Amino acid sequence: MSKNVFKKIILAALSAVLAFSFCACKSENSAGGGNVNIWTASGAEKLLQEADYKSRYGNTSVKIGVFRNETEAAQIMITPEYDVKSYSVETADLVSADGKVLPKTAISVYHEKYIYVDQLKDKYSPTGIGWYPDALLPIEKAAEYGENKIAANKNQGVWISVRPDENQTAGTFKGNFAVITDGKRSEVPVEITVYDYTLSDKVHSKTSFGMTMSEIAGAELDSSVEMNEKYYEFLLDRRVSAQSLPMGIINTDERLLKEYLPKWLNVAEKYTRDDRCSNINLPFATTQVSVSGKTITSVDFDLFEKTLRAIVEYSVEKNINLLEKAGTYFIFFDEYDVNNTAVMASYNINKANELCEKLATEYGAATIAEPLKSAIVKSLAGFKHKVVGELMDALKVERAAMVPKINKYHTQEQRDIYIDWDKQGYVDNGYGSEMWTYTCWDPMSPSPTYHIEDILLSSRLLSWMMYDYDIVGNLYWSTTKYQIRTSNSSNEYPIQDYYSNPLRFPRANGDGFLLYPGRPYGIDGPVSSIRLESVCDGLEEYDLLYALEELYSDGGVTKEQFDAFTQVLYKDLFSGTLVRVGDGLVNDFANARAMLADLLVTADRTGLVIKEYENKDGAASVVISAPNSTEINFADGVQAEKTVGDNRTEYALSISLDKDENRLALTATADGKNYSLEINLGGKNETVTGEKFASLITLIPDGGSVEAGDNDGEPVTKITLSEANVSAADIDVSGFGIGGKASQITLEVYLYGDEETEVTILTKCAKSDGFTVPTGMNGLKLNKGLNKVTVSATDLNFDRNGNLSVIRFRFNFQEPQAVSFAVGKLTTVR
Amino acid sequence: MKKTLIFFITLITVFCACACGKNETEVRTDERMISVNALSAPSDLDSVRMIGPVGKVTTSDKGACVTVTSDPYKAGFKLDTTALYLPFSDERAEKDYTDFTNTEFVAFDVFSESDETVSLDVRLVFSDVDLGQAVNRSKCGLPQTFEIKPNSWNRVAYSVKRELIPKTEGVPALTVKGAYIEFPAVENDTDFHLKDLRLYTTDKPVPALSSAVKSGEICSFDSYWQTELTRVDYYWDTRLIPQIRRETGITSDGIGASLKVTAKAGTAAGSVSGRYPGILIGEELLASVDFSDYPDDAKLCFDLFAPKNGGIDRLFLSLYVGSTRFFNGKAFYAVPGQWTTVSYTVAELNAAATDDANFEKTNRIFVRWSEFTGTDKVFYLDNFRVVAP
Repeated sequence: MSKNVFKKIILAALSAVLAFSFCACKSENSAGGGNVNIWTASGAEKLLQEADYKSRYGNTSVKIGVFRNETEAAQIMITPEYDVKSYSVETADLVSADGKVLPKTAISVYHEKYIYVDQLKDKYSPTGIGWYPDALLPIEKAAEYGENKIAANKNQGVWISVRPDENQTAGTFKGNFAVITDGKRSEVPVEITVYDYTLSDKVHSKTSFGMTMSEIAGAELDSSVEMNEKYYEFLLDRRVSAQSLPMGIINTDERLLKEYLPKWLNVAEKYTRDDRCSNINLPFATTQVSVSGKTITSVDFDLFEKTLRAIVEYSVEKNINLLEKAGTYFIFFDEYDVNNTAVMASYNINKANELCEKLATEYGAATIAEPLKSAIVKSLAGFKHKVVGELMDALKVERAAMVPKINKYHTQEQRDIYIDWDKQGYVDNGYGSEMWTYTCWDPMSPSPTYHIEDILLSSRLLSWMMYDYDIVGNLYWSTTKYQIRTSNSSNEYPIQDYYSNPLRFPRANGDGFLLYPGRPYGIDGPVSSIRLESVCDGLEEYDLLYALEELYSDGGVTKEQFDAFTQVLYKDLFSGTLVRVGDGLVNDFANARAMLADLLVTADRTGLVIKEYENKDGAASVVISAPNSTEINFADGVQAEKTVGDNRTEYALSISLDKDENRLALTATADGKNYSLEINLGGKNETVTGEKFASLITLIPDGGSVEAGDNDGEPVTKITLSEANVSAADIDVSGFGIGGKASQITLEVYLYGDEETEVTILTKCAKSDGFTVPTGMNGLKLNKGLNKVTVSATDLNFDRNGNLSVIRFRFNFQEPQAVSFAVGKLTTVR
Repeated sequence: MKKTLIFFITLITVFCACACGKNETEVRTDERMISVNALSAPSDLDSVRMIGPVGKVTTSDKGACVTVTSDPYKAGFKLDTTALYLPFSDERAEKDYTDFTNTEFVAFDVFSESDETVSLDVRLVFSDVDLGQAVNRSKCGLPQTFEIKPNSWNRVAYSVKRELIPKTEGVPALTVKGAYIEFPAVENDTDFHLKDLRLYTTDKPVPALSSAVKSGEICSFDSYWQTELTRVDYYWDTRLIPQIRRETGITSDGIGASLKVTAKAGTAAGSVSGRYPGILIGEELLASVDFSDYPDDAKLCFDLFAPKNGGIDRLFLSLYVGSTRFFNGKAFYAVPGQWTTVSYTVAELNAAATDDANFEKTNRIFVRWSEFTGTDKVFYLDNFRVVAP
């Protein structure tokens, strides 16, 4: 063979080798072929894996403000232009300007796992179908199991969580973390401000979050008490008390009470002494009884009485009131309002109340040392038996701790129903207030939810709403739905991949689970979720608000004054029980938190409190009170009228709300240290003066007239309808375009003539399909002369419906009559 | 030249082998065997489910290690059924072996660290079932019991009766979702090691179910399938699920077998709870029974035995056409320690019948008892039949 032929054969063979290599194997994006965008976001939002966030790539530093003993988070986002084979994150000690250290041991790092929502259940979800971050896998586990990879052009969230311990020095700590992608190192600046206040371990809200041991055992392949305790403690570390104490696979039923009660009492003592635990539901067994000829399920009250007696005996023996945190949750008449079990609920609650009152009387006469005796008697006499459902006439009981859905607290009128009930049943008798709420698949966004496709702040703001409305208890049906319920029946089926199934309950993604089993990743215990961390954040803020109110009370501020002032914290976050979902919510929340931090630290360190606050007529009237030893300097040239008392000085001031954003800023000095406080007072009030309405009338019956006028010098638009026309008439005033962040709208309406009349006022917003009648506007009585009609933004829901566009005045008389009225100034209050 | 060519071809082959990913193939040591789950690595347990207070399932050098706990609170409390569910599919690995059209056996190996021989019950789960409601007879077949010798490997081979797998309309395959393994109660925490869950297939066609009955026979329980297809009604309370077994040692006529029923104690008397659990001789069992052309004085009869100790005292018979009950009899009583025959004339059975629901159209027969408290009670049924005058 010639040399040429030989060469050609070798070349052909080599080509074949190369060709085989290329054809038989998958092609891969080569490492390092493009940029890796590393950007940051707060821990108050969910960022979808496949969404386009290019406009945010300019945010490149982590910033967190956190209290001692509080957990707060931010996110480092990695969006590479090529497939990253592995990534890691290195944290570091952070250092303040004066050399103090926030150690990296206070920082935890998690790989966000994404779960695909393909069936949108929450129709108002702002983010829709897609890959949502949910499970938080410790980053070392992501590496161990080969999941620390990122596909090209996908977002990978890294959850950075910080919890400074109670001994941490306050200050601002800076440094750099490193993100390493396929060996390439990128520095991320980090700044963590530790506020000079320690969040207490004691939890002041109450929770009852379901946790089903049989499901945990099924998924963790471990039914031991130790596994139950791991889950229980995991929730407790996040300020959540589980529905049942950790007793292993044994349910709270007849067997528990007969054979394990001594063990339950030990466990109850442990958690009664634990500040993190806020609520202990007593175990009970059920039986069947005949009531009015019908068989219903009942608590076995003989056994329940024995249980209560055993608890009291144990309490006396150990000198601790085991009933202090106790309540009941007779789950077999859960949601009595929708399940039509009012008779069962009434029977059981009445029997339970009777039994507890009987025991209270008996033990009141017993020889038990004080103050334990009084505490036990009070707990028994005012025992909180929870009834999940809306308060209805069908519930024939004198007293119960009602647990309605959160949207049943939406308006003041609705809240008053539960406030009055709570007052007459418990408060007036000296047993203490205890209002509860719950959420599940319903209500949906923008009510607060734990749904996967809802915004993250939704779950957090539930606790803020609770604090604002004096709701102490939050009940949630399940955190460990490790099976799937495929219909509305009670049948549930096993699932194989817990990390890929968002729809465990048919009506809402994420409903029923906030935890994931750790076993698939070799973790002994549960894995958290971004939603659970958000719930925890809200519960921490509940306790911060509680702490603030205590400090304010020490400073002489009444509850009414405190509630009025703290609206500045809430007004941009929620209206009624609707979250103000919108583009600016995350920033507004950050501002609210910063304000809360300032208020708390200045109150704690200097004794400064905001005693009075009112937003009226375009100005904020504020009265500040501080110890005489505290010096206050106002910014922005604000002048205050000082009144010096024996111990405290009051500062009265007024700030015009004439800018787009208005603030009250000051520095309080105590013990040689300066503390700054900045309060966002909101934007200027918008006003539409009366004469402008003349050109905005878009609907008026034939024969009606419109003319400009005035009332005592105030310009108005006068509308007159003649007798011939009016038995029913609609008059539309259109084209406003106001709303935005307004908390309420006030309209001046003048009625002419001698007779009062009724009108229904309807409203329509830019994005809503039709008209609605805001609360109190149906058949509104107008008196002769000036009437100020106020509509709450709660009813108008500008965030979802857009700005107000039409006001309709609807008259509906039994007999035709003339009517003459005028529309004056319309004012929004921020 | 030749050597050079061979060298390069070898080089090509080697390059291809080294540079490319491996193709994965199923490894079968036996052509008829399909390996479902080796149960050896922690990830093999991802699809496994534990039901009841088994204890723990981990992996050991012997395979999956199931620690059956004697008592989760070490206070002498003996618990009910503890079980393991092994599915025949793996979503993540995209494996699906649930088509049992050609499956003859389900097998796995068990090493018991008990000091004595114990029994293991294995059932097949036919459809997606709430594992908390396990042993729902309409979803699972009857168990097969295996004696497991101590401190040694035991092979468990569940013989699949394909003819008894429920058929789903529109689905040609015979579907079995997984195996449900019940562990015995133990005096001390005991480890059971499991490995190699596998299926054995066959080319033989699915046997025809010979559900023919003798003239006059409704259900004698002599044929194995008559027990397999007997169902239960338990008001969705797992505490009330009765145990049923085919019993060859106690029969009314000395032939074949009877149905042994263990009625479970509940929480209240039936007169209070309104709960009357029962066993059902249903459509599947009655498909080949002809109830027509019997005169009014013909009798529906069956035999009842209750042991002297721990036996049931009274039962109720009801007959249905679909969901319509046309006969609900008064209580009939067992005589402790002896067989008795219970009978009703066709006329009695038809007393409240309608054109649409009557004896001739019977397709469901319930034998019920009133819920009771205390200890479980046992009885035996045999030879449901129609006797002509």
